[in-house]
Amino acid sequence: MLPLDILDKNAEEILDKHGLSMDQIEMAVMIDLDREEKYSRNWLVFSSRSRSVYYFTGDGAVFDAYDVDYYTEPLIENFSGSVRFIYNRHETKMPVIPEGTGEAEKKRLMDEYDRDAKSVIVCYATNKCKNKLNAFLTLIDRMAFKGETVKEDDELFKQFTEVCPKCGRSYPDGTKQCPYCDKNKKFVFRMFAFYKPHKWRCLLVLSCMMINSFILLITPYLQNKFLLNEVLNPEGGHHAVEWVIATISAIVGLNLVNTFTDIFQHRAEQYMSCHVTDTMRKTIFEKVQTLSLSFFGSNSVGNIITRIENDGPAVANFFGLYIPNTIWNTVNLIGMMIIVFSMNWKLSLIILAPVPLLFILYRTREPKYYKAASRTFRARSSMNGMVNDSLSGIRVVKAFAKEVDETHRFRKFAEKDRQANLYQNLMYLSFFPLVGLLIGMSSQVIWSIGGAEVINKNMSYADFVTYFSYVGLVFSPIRYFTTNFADALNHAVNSAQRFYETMDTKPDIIETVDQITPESIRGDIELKNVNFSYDLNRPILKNVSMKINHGDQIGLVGHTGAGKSTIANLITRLYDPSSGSILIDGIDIKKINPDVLRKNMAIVSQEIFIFRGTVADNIRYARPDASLEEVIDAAKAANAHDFIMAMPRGYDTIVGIGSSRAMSGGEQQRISIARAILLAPKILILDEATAAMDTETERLIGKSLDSLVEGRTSISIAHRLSTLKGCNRLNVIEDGEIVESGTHEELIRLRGIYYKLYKLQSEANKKIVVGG
Amino acid sequence: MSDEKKINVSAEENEEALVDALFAKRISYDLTPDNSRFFLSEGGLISMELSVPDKEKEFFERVIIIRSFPISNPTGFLSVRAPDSRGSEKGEEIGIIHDINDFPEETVKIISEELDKRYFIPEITKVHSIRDKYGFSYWDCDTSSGRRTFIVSNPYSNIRLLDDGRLLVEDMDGSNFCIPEKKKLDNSSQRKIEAFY
Repeated sequence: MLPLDILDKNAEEILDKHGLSMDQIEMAVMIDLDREEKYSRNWLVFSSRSRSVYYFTGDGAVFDAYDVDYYTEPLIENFSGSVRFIYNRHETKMPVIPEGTGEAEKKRLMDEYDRDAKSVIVCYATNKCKNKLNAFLTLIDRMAFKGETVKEDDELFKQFTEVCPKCGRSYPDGTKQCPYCDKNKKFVFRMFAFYKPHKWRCLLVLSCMMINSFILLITPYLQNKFLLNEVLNPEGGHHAVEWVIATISAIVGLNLVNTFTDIFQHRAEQYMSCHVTDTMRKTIFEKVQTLSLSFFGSNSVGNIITRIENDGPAVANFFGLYIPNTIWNTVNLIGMMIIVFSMNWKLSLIILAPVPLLFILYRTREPKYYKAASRTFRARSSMNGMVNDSLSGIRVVKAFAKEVDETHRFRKFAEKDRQANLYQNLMYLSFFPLVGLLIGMSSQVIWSIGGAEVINKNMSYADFVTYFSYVGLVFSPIRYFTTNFADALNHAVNSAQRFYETMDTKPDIIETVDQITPESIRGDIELKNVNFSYDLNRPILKNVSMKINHGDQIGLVGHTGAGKSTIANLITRLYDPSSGSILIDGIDIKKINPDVLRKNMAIVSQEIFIFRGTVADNIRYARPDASLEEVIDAAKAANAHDFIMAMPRGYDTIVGIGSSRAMSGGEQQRISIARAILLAPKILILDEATAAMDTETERLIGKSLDSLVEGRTSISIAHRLSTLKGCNRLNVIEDGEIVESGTHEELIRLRGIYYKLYKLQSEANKKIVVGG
Repeated sequence: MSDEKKINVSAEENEEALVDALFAKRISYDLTPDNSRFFLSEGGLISMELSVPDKEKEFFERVIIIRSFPISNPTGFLSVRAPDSRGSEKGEEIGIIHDINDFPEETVKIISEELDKRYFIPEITKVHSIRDKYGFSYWDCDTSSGRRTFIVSNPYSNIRLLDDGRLLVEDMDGSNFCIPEKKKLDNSSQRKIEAFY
């Protein structure tokens, strides 16, 4: 059996019951929906001996056979989230059309054959099964109609065994995450990596903290127990003025040391915190830059900005400020506990009384805190997104006089942000006094019991005062753990989750290990059965194959949305095909070092972007090392030199968003052409490169482009057929398929889609002439 | 206007008609119970008969019905389309149904059933568990179509709360799941999805 899905025992039994043995089944696909669209295990199998497809449900209640000679034109309808497979049922076999029959006659015969056909539903399936279902149908076509023998190692099966490019193991559960290469490290441990360069500072912080802790523990002893009991008490062993001075000096000395260690500690903490925040921000920005375009499609700019701006700092703060504090508080808590329990364990039990209560209180509220924190993030990021949206589209806003509406819209977002923020903060605020009350109460209980003990002479006054000053110190870490720490932890966990969500996002374009770095690229391009979709429910390219030799000038023609620009995106590897492959000079594009690829390829697209900077910097964006002379030459070739010279500061004029010099669409396009010319790539893609220019400029640039494309492989995409005059072959794309291919004359003779387009455009031109 | 120019114009009009014919498109009608009849075909699909005044009756063995507003108005503005050939899912619009409830009960039933299958968004009725691992979120739920486990990548972007309180979850394969009302779930399920509201 071919390696699609493996039949289970139950399915084999059902097949056996219907007289089908395993050796006559070529392949099987598990279908995860039944005809009522309920989840279940159903099967679709094919037997080439009986030339039939069989569909049966896992419980054996439905068993249908479809003879492929009577059931034709299989169609997979793309629903939202699921697919439906339908066939056309005919009463007779397909008529044999004798060779040499004319096109028209052929069509008539087929239409007649089709007339009595009935569409029938074979099955429903979720998107999960879609790729296998497609492969199943392709294979039936190849085996039953093209007479091929399909082997188990066929190219087609490769897509189902996608493997981790690092270690070669297959991914689990269809994710693109390799459990061997991406060890599930807890984020705490991953965070420590950021602190590695600061390990000496960490040590400084820790030692300062230890000293502080020690001073904190010893001070009440000196101040209360020793001073009161031993020095001031006439019965004490050190009842002398010198001892008073000595004790006080010791306390002052300790205080002095404490102050300095405190300063050292906080300085080091701040230093680390700022540095780590900075590193994290740079890391996440760098990561975002490497991600595929699809990431930017599914995450708004506001969301990404919020991640870069807030999440890194939130996590860094937690680690830089709260982790040291936590260690310090833990040490203090343990130290104090030992002291107070050794002094009077019965009384100390009262301290512990509110702890379980606080813990329960905290646990029941934790999900609420978490939710509040993530809601604050969402409100903030949608507000940022709205601002970004509104400002990027400010021209449209102004054109439709929507300024007031936009302000209203912003108020709504800001209001949501305010509410979320307030809710989150208020929740903590109402919790703090509660904690204070509980702690206050238990200290009052200690006062009253301890007071009674002193009066009953079970405890000396000095002992009680010392004991009580330690009790006060015990409460401070408890308060810390149930309030500040809980708050910060929630913030940090929330932010860290998003931080690592971004860090763990795999770019769709994955660099393989066995990368090839060719010295130069010749410029042969081949597309082999390329399929592609941006959105799983809508295929854009269907089985596109084409071959372009180096030096060829190819034109891609077709309606908007036919998939022309998508082909350009795939050749430049902004996306990878869902299946099939793209070869450059005979090497799979996935294996070519991306640097080499980018250096040898340029795209002038319909989406132009001028970065903020000088004109010269914009032209040499792809090649910053280009000399000024080269920049001028490129600008001349793109017919941009003259308008640049008309600018007040020539090539040093600042252009782009936020600059005073606004450029027209045509000017921007010429700058982007100059950019491509300067790179002098082996493969040049012109995606509607001259669409925003007037005819005269287009003609002028056409000339410079002609000299540019000479000796290079060029692919031009255009609606205006006149733009494609220079091409030596044209491909017509319709609905993601190449439907016509040839020279201009050949395509005119074909009288197909190209002819229609040509007619329409020449008619339009004629009309202008007549009208004028 | 000179004679010469007149001739030119009429030749122009001829040519234009020729081009128009090349790009001829169907006229899209408002579909009402008066001009259209829908029934279930033998193969379980929707067939349709269109009878517009002054035109020959047309019969479509298979029509495709698509919602214009799948989320905000699932029963109105249904586009009825004829596939341009048998093995195709693309086609031209025959017409638009403004509100399916204007049609006889039987029609409403078959079209609603067909649409429910086309827009397959199972409702989550119970959440057994949600686990986060390697940036993916693994869900195990009871749905209106049976129990299902699925994986959500990038939970912050693929789980969306709509304005009307519905929660939409899109899994890695592009399948959608929906929680119409949080309050209708049991307590333990509500706790698990708390963070998304």
